[in-house]
Amino acid sequence: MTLTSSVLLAAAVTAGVPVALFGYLWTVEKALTPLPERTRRRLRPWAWLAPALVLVGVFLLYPMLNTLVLSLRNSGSTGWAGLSNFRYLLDDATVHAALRNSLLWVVLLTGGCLLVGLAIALLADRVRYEVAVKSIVVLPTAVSFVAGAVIWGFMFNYQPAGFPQTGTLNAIWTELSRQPPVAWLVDNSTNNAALILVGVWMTTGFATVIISAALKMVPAELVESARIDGASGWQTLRYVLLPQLRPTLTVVATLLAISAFKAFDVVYVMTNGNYNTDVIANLLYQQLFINQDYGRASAVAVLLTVVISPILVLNIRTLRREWRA
Amino acid sequence: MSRIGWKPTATAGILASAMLLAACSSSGSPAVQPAPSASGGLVAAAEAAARTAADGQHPGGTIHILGELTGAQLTAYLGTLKPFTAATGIQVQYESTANLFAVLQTDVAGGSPPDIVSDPSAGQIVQLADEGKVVPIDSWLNMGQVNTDFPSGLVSLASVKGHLYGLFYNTSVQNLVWYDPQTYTGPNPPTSWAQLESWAATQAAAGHTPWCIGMASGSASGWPGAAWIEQFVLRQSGVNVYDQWWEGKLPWSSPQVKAAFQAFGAVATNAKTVFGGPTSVLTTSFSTSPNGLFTKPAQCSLTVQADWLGDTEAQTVPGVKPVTDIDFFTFPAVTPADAGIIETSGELVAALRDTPQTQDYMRYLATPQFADMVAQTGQWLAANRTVAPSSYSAALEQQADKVYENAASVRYSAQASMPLAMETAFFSAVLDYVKDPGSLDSILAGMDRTQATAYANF
Repeated sequence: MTLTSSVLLAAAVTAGVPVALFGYLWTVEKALTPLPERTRRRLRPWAWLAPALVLVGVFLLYPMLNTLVLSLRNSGSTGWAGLSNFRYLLDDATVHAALRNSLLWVVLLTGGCLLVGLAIALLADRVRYEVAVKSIVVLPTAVSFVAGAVIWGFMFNYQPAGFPQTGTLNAIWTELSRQPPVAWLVDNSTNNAALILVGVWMTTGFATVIISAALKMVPAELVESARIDGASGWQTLRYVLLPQLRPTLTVVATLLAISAFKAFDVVYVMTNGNYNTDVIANLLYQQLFINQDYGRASAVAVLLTVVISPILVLNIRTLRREWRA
Repeated sequence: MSRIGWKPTATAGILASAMLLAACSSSGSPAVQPAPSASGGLVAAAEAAARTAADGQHPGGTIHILGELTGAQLTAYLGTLKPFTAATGIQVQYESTANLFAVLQTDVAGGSPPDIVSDPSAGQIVQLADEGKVVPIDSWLNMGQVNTDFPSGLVSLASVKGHLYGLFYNTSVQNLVWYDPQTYTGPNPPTSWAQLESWAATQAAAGHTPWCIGMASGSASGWPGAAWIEQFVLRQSGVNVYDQWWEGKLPWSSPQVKAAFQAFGAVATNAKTVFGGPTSVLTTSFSTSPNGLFTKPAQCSLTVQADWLGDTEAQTVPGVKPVTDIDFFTFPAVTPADAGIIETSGELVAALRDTPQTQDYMRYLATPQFADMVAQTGQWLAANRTVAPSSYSAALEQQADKVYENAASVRYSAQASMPLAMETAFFSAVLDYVKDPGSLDSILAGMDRTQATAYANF
């Protein structure tokens, strides 16, 4: 497609979608007019919602149900396979390892981003150059995960002991500890943490921005009166600020946990799951595109959905409570 | 996903040179050779060949090629097709993807395959041919000519049940042993692997690590080690065992495959024989590890890589000139019987639709004139053996071409012939083995389990 036709198409879609929607609503209203008022009131919300519901059905509901069906079929989707794909999830050691690592991601990525994000939001709140600090922390979120992984590849660089360490981490480590350099991504005691560190670096900015915004919403009088009553800085944080921030922290935590479960790019680019660093999302990719086992890949997808759903429910509940309050 | 023994992409080259520039304080930027442009005679000959391929017709239309070339390599490849377009009016539309396997699989499953695919994993084409998704091309071509012009190992690889399903346009000679003539003191060329190994052992005993090996390559990490191992399977046990192995008929736990892992392990898991020991083998990029030949003092004397290494080093390491500072000999004979067997990689071109355009295209690809166009790009060796070594402008390419033309037997890279699931598991197995050589038996047992399922559609 040439550039001109691409631009024309983009313009047509930008203008055309609202026009089509208004056209649809106008038609619906025309169709509803002859009906009695009560029926009209009952039908109108559904008629107005219909386009969105159709889109959700086609692009969300249908694929989900289809995945569920595929997970009960064999590798080439040519026949039923019963529960054998789920038995694979139960029995296979590589699945267990991936699950363990994904849980580690959930705990460390969520905890790390929350702690660092909260600390930065609180500390930056007290200085005049807050904008500058937050910009620096947010900057990595603009870097793609793949690019971030490549950059961190240099940070984790390993040179044999006795040679100049070109990797930042090993340069600092060997200088401070006088110990031999560490192969961060290969050594089993460090590699998962190293990968998660990249994730934390890339996601903390997101947590910081939201927590910081919530912090600004805490009424100044509250903090002030706590201070007047003689609360120390720590007590103010513990008994005033944190309770006020709790709903925000819960929502941020659930979003972080979900992104931790979906972690793929960093692992794929840096280790591809080797050296016991595999995670569920990478396993899904492996089963789908490398092994072409649609059954197992779908079963992994179902597992991922099942694991994430409770977190989603928690998230929605917290948001609802927020609205009611 | 993985590009086996293949020339590093432009990005990898840039990263490598950036690292070098950061690491070396010496002045002078790496000399990047301009791509030579095809002379008028070559182009005219190629146009004539394309006209013959199209039987004098001018069908016009478009062909849609799916492949993974980008940057200079893509420009070079499209350049070799210009005479074809000029002569036949057939426009070439090249769709480049970094995830060829998945994209092709999805396109085929969705019923909208490209006209042509250019695939560095020949195993995928063979698999698709078995499923009837690729069009047989032998009836389009003069097979007598094809059999004379291309190595039989590559023709039989692309043949399923007596029909030919693809042609290679480029080739790369794998597992050449590279050294710096200024510093290398060992046998040249060695008469046998044993001779080279004993020289390496004396070096190791004197405290000089003879070898540099780097296996890091992003999500395809491990392939350089896999290339070593398949070389040992090929040379220790011969072409029949090699073929059975990648076809999934010989277990990984067999003595032949195990011996190949161990022969590689003798070099790669011993801190005295490989620079930095096994940890460096795992953490060093395949593209930067050969630079150890040129450090002062040199970190190593030898490194194994495909034919592109010499010119790449000359372009990225300041002061390194082809032949005078970097040169190669072929992997020495491991047994007396295996001299002259070489392993290659390359892109297999196959047709997924039977149209006049794809027929003309495949016929054009089979012509020696097209091969001459490929040769003059300076990017690859042409797979067609009719190209004279003098068609290559670079000295090291000429040498590699001589190796290719004179090879007694040519085998395609085993890792790229296997189903992708097997290949990926192979890479992981190599990494696991180098990390923990003691667990070889359990690693190979795991590979047997993968082998049991990976060939389901093969």
